[in-house]
Amino acid sequence: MSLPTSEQQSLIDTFDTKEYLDHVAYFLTGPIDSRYREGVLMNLKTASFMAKKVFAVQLDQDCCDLAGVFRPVEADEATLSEDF
Amino acid sequence: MRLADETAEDSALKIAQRVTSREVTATEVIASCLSRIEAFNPAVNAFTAIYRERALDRAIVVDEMVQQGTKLPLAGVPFAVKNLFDVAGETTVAGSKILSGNSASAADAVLVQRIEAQGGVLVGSLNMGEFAYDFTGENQHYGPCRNPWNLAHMSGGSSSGSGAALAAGIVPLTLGSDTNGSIRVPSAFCSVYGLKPTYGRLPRTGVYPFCDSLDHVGVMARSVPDLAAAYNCVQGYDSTDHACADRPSELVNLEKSIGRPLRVGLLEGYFRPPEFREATNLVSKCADALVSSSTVVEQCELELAEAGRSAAFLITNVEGANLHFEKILARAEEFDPETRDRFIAGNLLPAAWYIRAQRLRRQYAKEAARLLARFDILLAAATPVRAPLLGQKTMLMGGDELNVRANLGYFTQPISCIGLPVICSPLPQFNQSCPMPGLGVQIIAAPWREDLCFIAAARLSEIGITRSAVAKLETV
Repeated sequence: MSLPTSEQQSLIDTFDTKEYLDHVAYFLTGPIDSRYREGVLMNLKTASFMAKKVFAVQLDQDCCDLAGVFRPVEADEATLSEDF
Repeated sequence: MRLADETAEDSALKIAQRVTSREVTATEVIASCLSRIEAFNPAVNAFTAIYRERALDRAIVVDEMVQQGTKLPLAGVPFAVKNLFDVAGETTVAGSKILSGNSASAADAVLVQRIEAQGGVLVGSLNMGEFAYDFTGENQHYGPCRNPWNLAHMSGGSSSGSGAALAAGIVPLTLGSDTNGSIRVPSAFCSVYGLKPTYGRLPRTGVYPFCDSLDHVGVMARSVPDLAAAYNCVQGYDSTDHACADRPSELVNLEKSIGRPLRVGLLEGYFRPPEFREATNLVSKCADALVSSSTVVEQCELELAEAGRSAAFLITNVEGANLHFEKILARAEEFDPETRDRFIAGNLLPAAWYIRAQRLRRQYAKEAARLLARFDILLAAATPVRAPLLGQKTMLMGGDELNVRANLGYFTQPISCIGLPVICSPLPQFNQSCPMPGLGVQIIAAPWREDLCFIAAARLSEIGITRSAVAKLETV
C-alpha cells in the first residue's frame, strides 16, 4: 500500500484531539491532570498537523525500511535501481 | 569596570600555539578563563557548573607535557560542554531538575576525553534547554541563558550555553548536541560557528540522550580553523554508541582545499518562504559571494523537505517522550512546563504516525542523495528570524503571527532529519540600525562530506560574508 485510502486520509483530516485525549490517555497514561490538559491538547493538535503532512506523501511501493539504525543515504546508493 | 584580559579573544589555535611555545602557560590561560567566567557568567548565565580545581590540576599536567615536548594540538585550550555530556564525578543534569539527584558519572563522555587527550582543559558545564527539547535557551530550573550581544534576547537552544560562552569570549571551544537544530540555532543567534556532523560520525557515548534516531553531537567555535581543529580531535569510532559508524577518521585540512571548485545549490521552495525574507535574502548574498571561475551556483529544490520536517517532529516527540515515560507520569510537576506537555502528548501518539514518519524519512533521504549527486554543497538559512526577546511567544512575520518555539527550527529540522552534515556560519548584521545578530547560513553536504562544508565555510569567511566576534560585556 502506498497512498493512504480516502477513508484513512479523512480520518487524519478530522482527527479530534479532545476525543482522542479523553479516550486514549485513560489507557496509556491515565487521565491527564487538568492543569496540563490545554498544553497537551495544543501539542496533540500540532502533532496531528504534522502527521497529516507525513501521510500526504506517497511512499515507494515496497518501502518497508524503518531506518531503524539510520544511516544517511549516499549518492551512489540513491542512483542504483530501487532496491528496497 | 572593564575587565582586561588579553587571551579573551584569542582563538583556540592561537592559545595552543602560545602555550606550546611557552609564551604563556596553560595554568595562566585557565586562571584567566576562570576569572572571565566569574566576571561574565552572572550576566549571561552560560555555565551551570564550574570545575575550578579540575581545570587547574589539568592545566598543570598540560604544562608538564608541553615541557616534555609532547605534541598537543589544543594545548591549554579551555573548553566547556553542554550539561548533557558526562563529566567524571559530576551529575549529568541535561538541563533538568529531575536528574539532579542522580549519582555522579563514573567517566567523562568520550568527546570530552578526546579533547583533553589533545591538551584541552575542561572548565565547566553549560546551560541548556531541559532535556534538549528546546530552541530558545530558556530554562525554568537554571534560568535563561542570555544572548551576550543583547542580554534581553534569547541565546537560542538547546545548546544555549555552548553558543553564549563563545560569544561572551569566555572559552574558544564548546561541545553541543543537535537533534533538530540545537547546535545551529544558538550558533546563528550568538553569531558563532557550529558543526553538526553526519549522523553517526561522532560517538554519543556518555551523552544523555533525547531522540536516538536524530541525536548528533558536535563542536562550536568562533572561527572555521578552530572548528576544524576541534572536529579533527574528536573523530573516531566507538562501539558503545550503536549508531556510530565504523569509519576511519577523515581529518579536515583547510590549507589543502584552497581553490577547490564547488558546485553550490541554493535551496528554494520550502527553504525560501516569503515570511522569512531577511534570512533567505542573506543566504542569497552568500551564494552570490561564492560565484567565481571555479564555483558555480544554481537554484534547486529539495523534494519532501516539508514532510521531512514533519517526520522529524513526530519522531522526536515519540522517542523523546518515551524516554521519560515513567518520570512524566510520576513527577510531571518537576518538568519545565514547556517540555512537560510535549512529553505527555508524545507518549500518546499513534504508533502508525511514528512508523510512517520513519518510512518517509528513508524516502526523503534518497531525494536528498539525488540532489547532492549534482551539488557539492547546498545553502539554506539557519534561523527564520534574529534572536527574539526572552519570554517572547509569538513573532509577526509577513503579516502573520507565528509561534516562536514552533518556528525557530523551520530551516534546521529537515536537514538533521536525514543526518546530513552541516556547518552553521554566522551572518553579521548588514543593517547598522539593527541591534541584534542572529542569522546564519547552513552549509550542507552529502553524508560523510564534512570536508566540503569546511571548504565552503572557509571561503565565505575569507570573503568576509560570515564572521564571528566577541561581544563586549561590562562587569559591575
